[in-house]
Amino acid sequence: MEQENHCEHCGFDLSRLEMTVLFARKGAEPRKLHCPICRSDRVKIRALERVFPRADSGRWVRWREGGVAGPSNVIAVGRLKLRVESEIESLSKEQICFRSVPVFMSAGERVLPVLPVLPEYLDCLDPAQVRLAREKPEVFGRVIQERGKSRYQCVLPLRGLKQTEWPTYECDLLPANPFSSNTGDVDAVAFRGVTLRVWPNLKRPTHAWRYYVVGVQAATEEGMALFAQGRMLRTRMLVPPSDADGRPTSETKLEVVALDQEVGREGESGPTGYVGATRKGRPAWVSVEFMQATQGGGAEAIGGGLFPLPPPSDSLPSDTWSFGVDFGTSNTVIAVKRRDGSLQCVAPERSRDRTSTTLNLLDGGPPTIQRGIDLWPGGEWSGPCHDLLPSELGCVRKWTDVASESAINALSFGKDFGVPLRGASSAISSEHTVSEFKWLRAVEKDKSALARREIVQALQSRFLEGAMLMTAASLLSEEEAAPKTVNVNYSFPLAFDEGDLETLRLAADEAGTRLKQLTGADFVFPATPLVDEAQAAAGHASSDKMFRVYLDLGGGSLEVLIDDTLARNNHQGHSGLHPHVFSSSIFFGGSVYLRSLVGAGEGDRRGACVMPGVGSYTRLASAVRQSQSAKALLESPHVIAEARKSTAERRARVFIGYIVEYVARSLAGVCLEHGRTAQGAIDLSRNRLFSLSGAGAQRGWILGINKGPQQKRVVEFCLVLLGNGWGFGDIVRDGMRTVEQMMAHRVYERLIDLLKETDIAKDISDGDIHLLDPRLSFDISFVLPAEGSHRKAAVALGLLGAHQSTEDAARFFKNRAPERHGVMGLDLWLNDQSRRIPWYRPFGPPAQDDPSQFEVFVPAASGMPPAMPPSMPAMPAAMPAVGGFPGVAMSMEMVAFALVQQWPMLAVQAAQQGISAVEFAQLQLWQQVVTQAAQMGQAPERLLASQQWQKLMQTMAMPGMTPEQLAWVQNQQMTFVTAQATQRGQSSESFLAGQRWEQLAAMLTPPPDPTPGGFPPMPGMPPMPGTPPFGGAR
Amino acid sequence: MSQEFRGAPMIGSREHYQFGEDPIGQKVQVTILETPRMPSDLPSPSKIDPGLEATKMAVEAQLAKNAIAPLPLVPPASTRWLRFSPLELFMEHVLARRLWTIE
Repeated sequence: MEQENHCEHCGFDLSRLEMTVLFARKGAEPRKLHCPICRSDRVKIRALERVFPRADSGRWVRWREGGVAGPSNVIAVGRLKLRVESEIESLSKEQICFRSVPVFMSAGERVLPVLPVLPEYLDCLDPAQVRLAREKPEVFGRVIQERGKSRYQCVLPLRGLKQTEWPTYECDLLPANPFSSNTGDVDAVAFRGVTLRVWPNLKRPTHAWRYYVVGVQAATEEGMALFAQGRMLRTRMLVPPSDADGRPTSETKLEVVALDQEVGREGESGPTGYVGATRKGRPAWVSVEFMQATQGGGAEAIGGGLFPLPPPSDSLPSDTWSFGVDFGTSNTVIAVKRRDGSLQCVAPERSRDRTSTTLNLLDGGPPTIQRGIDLWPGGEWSGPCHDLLPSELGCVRKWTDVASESAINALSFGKDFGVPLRGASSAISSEHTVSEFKWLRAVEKDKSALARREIVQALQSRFLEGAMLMTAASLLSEEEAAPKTVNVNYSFPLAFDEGDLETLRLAADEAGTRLKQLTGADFVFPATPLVDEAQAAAGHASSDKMFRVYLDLGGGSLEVLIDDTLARNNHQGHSGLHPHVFSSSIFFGGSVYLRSLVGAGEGDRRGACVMPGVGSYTRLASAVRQSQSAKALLESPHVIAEARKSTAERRARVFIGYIVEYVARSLAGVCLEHGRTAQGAIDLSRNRLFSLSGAGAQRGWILGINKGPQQKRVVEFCLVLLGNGWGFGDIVRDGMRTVEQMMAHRVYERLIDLLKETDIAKDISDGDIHLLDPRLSFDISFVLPAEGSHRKAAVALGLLGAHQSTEDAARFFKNRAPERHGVMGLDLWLNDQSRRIPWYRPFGPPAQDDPSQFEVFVPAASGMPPAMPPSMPAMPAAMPAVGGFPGVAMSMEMVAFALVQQWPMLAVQAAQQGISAVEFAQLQLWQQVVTQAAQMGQAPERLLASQQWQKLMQTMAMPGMTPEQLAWVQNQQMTFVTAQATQRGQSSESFLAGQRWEQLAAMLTPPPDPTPGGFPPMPGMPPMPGTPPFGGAR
Repeated sequence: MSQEFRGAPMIGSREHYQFGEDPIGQKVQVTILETPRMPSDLPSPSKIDPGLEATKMAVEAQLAKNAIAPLPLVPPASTRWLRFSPLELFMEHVLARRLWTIE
């Protein structure tokens, strides 16, 4: 006979011990029993396995045997009596199980609960068997036929009982229709159109991932039987407690988390389902329960059952992931770098080719009931490639009701708030959605109650958290290995001010902290965004054109980057120049156009073009997302009022027209103004339009580049259109095949017009060809998005592109411009010195060049004999005629610069001649002056005076001046010069030549020490903290 | 290049900065001159913003916070110390708000 109550050490039979022992005090753990003979604690008492304290209440229970259990607080072990200080409750299998069990039709198959046990009594089952029920659910609950009636049957592995003692539990099926009398046919009583789902659907669930959303919902009208009259639906998830590593510490002592958020409630109608979320780990079970009100005001369960989730496992070793996030004003694109180095945009469940990110425990079929706001995080994203995540947040409450940082941070993703992937029904107020929270100033327009920086930061943070969760869920639905680290590169528009940038940085930081708790992975956002959006896009593609012009028109901003390909590739004299000629950004995106269609403002329909039902920006943006094209949107009678179509088109023309104007003026600025010396002359070596061409003595600066077999002189701009905002260009394509073609055509026409209208265009010359010379052509080309990609993808991909890993790229990044720099665009008149600043002048601090990389090029000198530079050059005989000076001044600055670049060698030669390096350099420079003057048939002094006068005229004469105005300005200037010369006892020419020579000679100073920290301060100036070795001096 | 500056008063301290062109003094009157012409099919800024009053206000507001760019970032002979563009301001602050008035 098996020894059931004995000491395993000495074999003493404890049931022979006649005594009563206080085994457990009230609410306390039971005592540890020891053998009275050998004091061993290896005491086995079979009866104790059948009597146990409950997990939640601490109350002792035992299984009712023989149908009746005596009200006792004593556990009898033969003669030994073990007493507990509370009543030992007797339990029967009927007490722990639902009275009836529902059956569901899921994707054409019958699905029923695996266990019929009430969640509160799960700890009364054998833990190993409960685990087995999750792993092999098919061996538990089933439907049987008994005397023509369908019944539910399940073996109950009661805790403490032997397998042979496990009872079989049988009960009725809960009919979907409570008024149905047909209980014989299981299919007739089954629930249909009900979805019970879990997000995310991880291919290999791990202990580390702790965030789950569970929802139950009527997908169809049949599914509304969930809420049949006379009963209430209650759904709960059962989440195991876990240790620090996320491993569950119990299979049966589970925490109950209610699915307590209604979904689908709209107006007077009831909800269509419930959703809940947990951040404590993967639920083990979902309990679906039907309740009935009792007379006492309470509710009792009349039916239900437990549906299992497969248990998680340990993580596999994994690589680090890299994401590139283009957090757009209207849409966000996230790119991921695969192990093989390939880049692709995240497109969850794309066209259902991919694994669903939602695990359907019950699949009620495609939803036909669409009520309320749908915040479920699973599903396809928007756009033709299904890789656009709307930059919107929906909330079950009005956003104005949660207008505080703490309230927003308390919301649960997928339950209380989320990204409305499928939009909201038209009956839902726009107060439940917030968009454009990338910009504080946009939130001010839309929802002023949220227009505080800390709230915007919270919105951004929660959005980034949700976007990262959805991205990771998408990838982990197909990959088994979860990452330990995720590097997230993100960018920002240059139109961001410092506050905007700080807000985004803090939001990313907060999101990273929360994501660690939810997924177990370190989401590493850089301390500051690495790169602005336009530069990120530039990093993704190479070019063979002279300039690439990146135009990223998003929902909120237009980013413009003019990238010098020669500089990027260190070609043709552009080495050392930073590739970013201009990089700017304006808060002028597609939303400007959309808002104009909505009218004067939210609630103010003056000027509106949209139908009254689409009267908010959020709804219109949602309609845009679902529309095939902008043109189709305008044609949609549900969106645009028929009578307002022409106005909507007219606004699109103005919207796109001003962008064309802005781009054309920026390009004209590159042509007209970029690269001037300190004296205002054009510096060919710095002007991006000029390139070094030829070899040996023939090598020299030319305007543009030689291209093709004919070596035609050309200036090339290649437009790269990025961002979804260009979709509105479709409205005004006017027969062009693509928006890119339309833009190239219009920008070309406008650029040429602008150049022709500007007087100084003819001064931009290499001595042979000037800007308006017919031998020079302007080529405005364009790049179409890659096959299968779209205009929005480039920034996200560029953030992961190779450019950040190369040495050159690191240099370009380090020296990038910190803020906007571009072209003025409109003429300004300042009354301080009666200055007129023409529209083509640049503004903003530019990117820093790298002088150490500059190509040293000194024009070949003729064999003229050198002459000593005078302390003051001899004065020219007479002033030259106004406007009659050839434009040759540029080469003198180049010579001076080249001399400075060769200073060490120059110093050696000076030492050999016994003079100072400065004197030697002045001799060399003077030689060049003499040589050039001789070539032009002039005296050196006259040449210098001519150059100085030309420079003065350049600063005074402005485009648009009439000849009379110009003559007046010149006369005024001449009067001023003459007066100053007279004061010094000089002629005007002598005075001008002296000024010119002083300026040139002043350039001949030793270059700064190139060693780190060796940058000398400018004369009379304190050293700058953190100044790079070469500063920004050109 | 000369480090001596005369003329209009400057915004902030000049000690650590150099300029190719004198910066704008405080309380300077700024006028936007709408030249050159806009294309014929585009309403001019003055049509959208009569008298360019709103644009001027945006420029003056921006001018008031036109911090001076750090020394290494300011090249000579340029208006780069001006850290905004009047055209950009017009598009951001005027056109964006008045596009709905176009009929």
